Amino acid sequence: MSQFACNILLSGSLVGFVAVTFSLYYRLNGFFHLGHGAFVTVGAYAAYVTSLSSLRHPAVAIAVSFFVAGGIALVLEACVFLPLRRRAASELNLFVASLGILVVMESAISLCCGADTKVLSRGWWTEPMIMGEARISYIQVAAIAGNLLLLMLVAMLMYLAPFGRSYRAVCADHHLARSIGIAVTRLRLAVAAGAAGFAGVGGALWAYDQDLTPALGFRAILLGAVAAVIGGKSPVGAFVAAMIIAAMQHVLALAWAVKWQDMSVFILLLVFLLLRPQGYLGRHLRAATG
Amino acid sequence: MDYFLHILVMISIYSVLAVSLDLLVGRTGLLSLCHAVFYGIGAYTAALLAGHCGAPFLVGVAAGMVVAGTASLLVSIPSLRLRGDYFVIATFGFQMIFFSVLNNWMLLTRGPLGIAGIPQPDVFGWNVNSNLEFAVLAATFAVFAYVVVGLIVTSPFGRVLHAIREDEVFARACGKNTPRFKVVVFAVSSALPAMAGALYAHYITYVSPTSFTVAESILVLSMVIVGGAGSLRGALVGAVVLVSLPEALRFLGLPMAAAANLRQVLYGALLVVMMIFRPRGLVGKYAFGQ
Repeated sequence: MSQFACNILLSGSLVGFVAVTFSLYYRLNGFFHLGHGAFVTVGAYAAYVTSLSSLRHPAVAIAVSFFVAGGIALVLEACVFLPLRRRAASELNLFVASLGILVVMESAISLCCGADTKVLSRGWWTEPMIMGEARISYIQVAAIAGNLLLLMLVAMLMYLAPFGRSYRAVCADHHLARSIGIAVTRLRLAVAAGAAGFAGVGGALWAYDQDLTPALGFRAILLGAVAAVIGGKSPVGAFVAAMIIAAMQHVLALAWAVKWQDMSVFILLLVFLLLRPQGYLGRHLRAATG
Repeated sequence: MDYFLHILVMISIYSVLAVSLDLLVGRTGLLSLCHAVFYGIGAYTAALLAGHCGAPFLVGVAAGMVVAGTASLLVSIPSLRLRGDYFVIATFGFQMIFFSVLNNWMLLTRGPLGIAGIPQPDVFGWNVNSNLEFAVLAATFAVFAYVVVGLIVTSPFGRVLHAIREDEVFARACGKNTPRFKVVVFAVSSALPAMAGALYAHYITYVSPTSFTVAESILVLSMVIVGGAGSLRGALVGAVVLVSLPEALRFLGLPMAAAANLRQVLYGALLVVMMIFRPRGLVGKYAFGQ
C-alpha cells in the first residue's frame, strides 16, 4: 500500500468517525447538531487527561473518552433538547441551541485546559510499522480499523436488531412510532449518548495522530457535517463521503496548495447543496428545496 | 472617559450589524451565518481603497456597500432553492470560504498579517480622530441603519417580507415574486454591515481575517436572538447587552485569555437559555424559529 493511499484512508477514517455519528444523530432528530463537534473535543481532552495519569495506555484513554463524551451528551440531551422538543421547538431553535452548546463547551475547555497545543503521550503505539511502501503507526491502524468497526456496528444495529427497526420508525414518523409503543425519548437519549461517545473516540484518535487544541471539534464537525450532507443522511453514505473529502484534500495538496484544502471542501458542500441537497445516496427532499 | 466612548463606538457598530441581520432573520425568517462576510468586505474594501488609492472615507464606505451588495448575490441567488437548516449550512459554507480567501490571498489581503495603517476618516473636512468624534460618527451610522431598516419594515415591501417569514407558499400564491424579494432584502441586509465594516477599519486602523470569522457571525446572531428577532428595539438591546455585559468581566481582574473565553461561554449560554426559556428574546414579539 502506498503512503498516499494510507494517508487518505487515515484522514477519511478520522473524519468518518464524526461524519457517521453526526449523520446517525441527524437522521433521527432532523437538525444539524453542531454541538456534536464539542464531543469530539471533549473526547480528545479526556484522552489527554487520562494519558497524563498512571493509566496512560491508549485503550484506557479511548474508553474514558467514550464514557465522558457520551455522558455529557446524555445530560445535554436530557436538559436542553428534550425540553425544547416538549415546547415544540423548530429545527432552527434546536440548531441555534446546538450552536450555543458548541461555543460554550469549546470555550469552557479552552478556559480550563488552556488554548495552547497539547501533545498526547508517545509510546509503542505511535511508533511506525512498515506495511508495503507505507509507514503507519499502531494508533493510526486503530483509527482505520475502529472506523470500519463502527460502521459495521451501526449496520448491524440498523438491520439486524430490534433497535434498528425502532430507529427507522422514529426517523420516519416519531408521533406514529410513539403511538405504537416505541420509547422515543429513550431511543433519542441512547442515540445521543452513543453517537457522542463514538465521536469522543474519534476525537481521542485524532488527538493521538495530530496535535490537540480546543478548536479541534469545530474543524472536525465542519468536515463531518459536509460529509453527512454529501452522504445524504446515511451513515454509510457519510463514511464514503468522508473518504471522498479526504482524497480530494490530499490530491489538492499534492497538485496545488495545502492552503486551499478547506475552501475546496466548502465549495464541494455548496455544489451538493445547490445541485443535490439530498446527497448522492439520498432521496429527493421537499424540505430542502423550494 | 475614553474607555466608555470606545464601548459606545462598538455598540453603535454592532447595532448596525444586528439591525441589518434582523432584516433577514427576524423579518424574512432566513437564518444567515455569514453576516461577518459582508462586514469584512466593507472593512477590506475601505482599507484597500484608503491604502492604495487614498480614497476619502465616504467613497470607501460607498464602495464597500456596493461590493457587499453585489457579493450578496453570490450567496442569495444560488441559496434561493434552500430552506431551513440547509440554507443555514450554505451561508456557513460561504463564511468559511470567505475566511479562507482572506487568510490565503496574500497579494490582495496580506493574509494573516492584515492591513495596517488605515488613515482616520475625513468627512467633508471634518477630521475624525478623537473617541468622542468617532462615537458621534458611529452613532450617526447606527441611526441611519435604524431608519433605513425601519422604513423598509413598515413599507409594503416589509409586509411582503413578513408574509414570506410566516408562509412563503401563501405569499407566492398571492402573486408575490418571493425569490426577488429575498434577493433584494439580502442585498440591503449585506450593504449595511459593509458600512459598519468601513467605519471599524478606519476606527481601529487595522484589519485582519480574525475579525471576520464565523464567531463574529455567531455573535451578531446572538444579539438578534437575545434582544428579540423581528424587532428593531430588540436588535439594539441585543447589541447593548452583548457588547457591554462582557465588559463587566474586565473588572473581575481576569487574564485577557480567560476573559475572552468566559465571554464566549456567556454568549453560547445565552443562546441556549434564550432558546429554551424565551425564544422571542428580551423585547421581541416574534418567537424565533416558531
